[in-house]
Amino acid sequence: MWYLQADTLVWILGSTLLYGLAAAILHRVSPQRRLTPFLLLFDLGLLFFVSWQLALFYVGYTLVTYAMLRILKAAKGQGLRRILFVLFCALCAAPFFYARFALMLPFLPAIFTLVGFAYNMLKAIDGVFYVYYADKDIPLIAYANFLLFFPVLTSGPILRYRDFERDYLSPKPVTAQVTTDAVKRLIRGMFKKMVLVALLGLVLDRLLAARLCLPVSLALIVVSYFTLYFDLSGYSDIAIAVASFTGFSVAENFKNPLTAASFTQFWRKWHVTLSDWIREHIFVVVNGKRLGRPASAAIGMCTMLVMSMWHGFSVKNLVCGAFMGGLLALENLLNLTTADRRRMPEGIFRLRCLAVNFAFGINALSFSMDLGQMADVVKGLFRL
Amino acid sequence: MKKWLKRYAFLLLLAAVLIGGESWLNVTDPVSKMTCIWRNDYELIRLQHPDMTFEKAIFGSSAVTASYIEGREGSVGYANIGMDYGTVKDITEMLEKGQLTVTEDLVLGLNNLSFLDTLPTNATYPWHRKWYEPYLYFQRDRLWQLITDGTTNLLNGEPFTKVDSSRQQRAVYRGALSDEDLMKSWESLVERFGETTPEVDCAENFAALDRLAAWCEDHGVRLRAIWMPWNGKLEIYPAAQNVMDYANEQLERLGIETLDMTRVVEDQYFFDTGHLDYDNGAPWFTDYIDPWLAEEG
Repeated sequence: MWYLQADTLVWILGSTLLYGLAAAILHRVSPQRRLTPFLLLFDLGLLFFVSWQLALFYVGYTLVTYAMLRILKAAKGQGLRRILFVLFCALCAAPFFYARFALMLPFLPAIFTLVGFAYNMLKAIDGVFYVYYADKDIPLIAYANFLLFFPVLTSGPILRYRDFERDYLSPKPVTAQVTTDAVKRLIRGMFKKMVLVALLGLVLDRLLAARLCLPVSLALIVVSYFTLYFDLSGYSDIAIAVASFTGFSVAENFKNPLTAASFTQFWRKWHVTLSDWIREHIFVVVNGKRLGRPASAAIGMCTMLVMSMWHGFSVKNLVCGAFMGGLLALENLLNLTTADRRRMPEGIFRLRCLAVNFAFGINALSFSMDLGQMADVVKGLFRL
Repeated sequence: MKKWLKRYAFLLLLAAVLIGGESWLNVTDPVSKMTCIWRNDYELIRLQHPDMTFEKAIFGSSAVTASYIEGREGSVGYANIGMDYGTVKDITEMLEKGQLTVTEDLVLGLNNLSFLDTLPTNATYPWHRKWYEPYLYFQRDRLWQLITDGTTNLLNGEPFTKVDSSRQQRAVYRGALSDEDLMKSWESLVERFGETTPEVDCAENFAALDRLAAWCEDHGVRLRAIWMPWNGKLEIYPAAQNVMDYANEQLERLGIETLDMTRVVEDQYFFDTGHLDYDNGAPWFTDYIDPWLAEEG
């Protein structure tokens, strides 16, 4: 977590300040010109500052995946393009799969330094999608900037090229109001990550040491939920704030998930950019957009399994993915995916929100304990 | 101008609070004055010697803290400035940064770990603070400890802050470990440091030794060294011996007079591998090295 390391944070904020000042001056002198291509210097500088091996890996990865985009763009014939599309998507993800398998199979050497790669791999695949579906070229410098954009290099929100390109070509002016809002958001994100998450960690440890019974299990689920929420949303706040110093709008990752009255709605409010990415890049593309209930249920199940396994190849993640996927599938089959607050009693709406978030709270336990402990917590719900 | 001030009011106010707060914290240094917080050895020495200026001082790790009795009747008046995890690099940085001053004689109490770059250290020692680390960030571990301890105290029905007298003095050792525990302690040392080499693992500390010698020469301070006692029941493991041999070459090259106490102290005076029993070993050791310390340069 680079934002929590003093030297790296100074580097990031210093670079951002420098860039912001230069961009503001340029905006006054020559409003039609932009500095965004030069952000790459800061991206590379940061990578080299943290680790030259990491920088080399990302430079290589950027060049190799860019070569794939060029080949895909130049390919003639729909059949060949389709084969290359699938092949290049798989190749973009190859280091990720290798690293995950290397964790499980000790005889595989750890040849990659992969900070933030789970996210950047998704951006590289998005580049392949963009070239394949939009049939447009991406300039090398724009692509490198997209892939290595430092505010979101180590974690989400996950950028899509078409969104990135918009701000890349026409960055927003960094005004006093933008800066003020960004600073407030930065403070909020830091507070969540450095204070709230740490305090909740203390409470979690104390609860784990207690005898598991209904109140303790309930408290563990609630605390796990909020620990995860503050952790991820705090990081997103920081990333969004730093990006806005450079004139980029990064998509919101959390949209008040406590107000989700169905699992379908929940995943449009929690870690939005990841669930959107998976939905848009895998299942909607594969199946088309008009789906029946069984197909939607199956897609929901598969989306949750993929998302869970993306966090790590383990039995725990498989079980959690199946749990969340099962609930999503059931909801699709029972046609409960939408819940309009205006058309149902407030009490029912709130009860549904509570049920959805409680179920996710059980899933959130997996981020702070192993599968056995999770089972004990759930058993504790039935013990007074 | 008024419009501009209004537009940037929040940012200006925030900058003022941050700069003002940071300056105030740095000047007052409240954490090192709190009695309810673990003080590091540097701060504990400063409690005894507020100006941190010493005519004659013996520096080293906890082996020195535990072995030399400062102010012992009839002794030559060396201050014991031994600190947990103290290395050659630490004393060099303290002197270079003006966090401590020696005016006449400085003696290094050495063992192989005094030269180890990767030796764990106390992160709260002030010379570890980087220029870009704000006060509260640098003190975060101890403040966090204060919060967690305080919360636990409250949950146990006790006051939030408790004064713990054991936190107000440097650690010394009393008695002796059993042979079994002594062996475990030695095995732990071999396991952690048994593969270290002077060229790779001690490069920064040997570079610091050169700087220290230069600093002492520039400031007219006599620099000497003592190899601290090693428990006779235990072998000096090969990696430790290699570091010591290499260090002896460097000390000789720099013309630093050395007293070798590694195999001089009897087993009965030891608490463990290198710490002396404060009640019996430390008085013996202090009396033994006193004439050497008193020798004129």
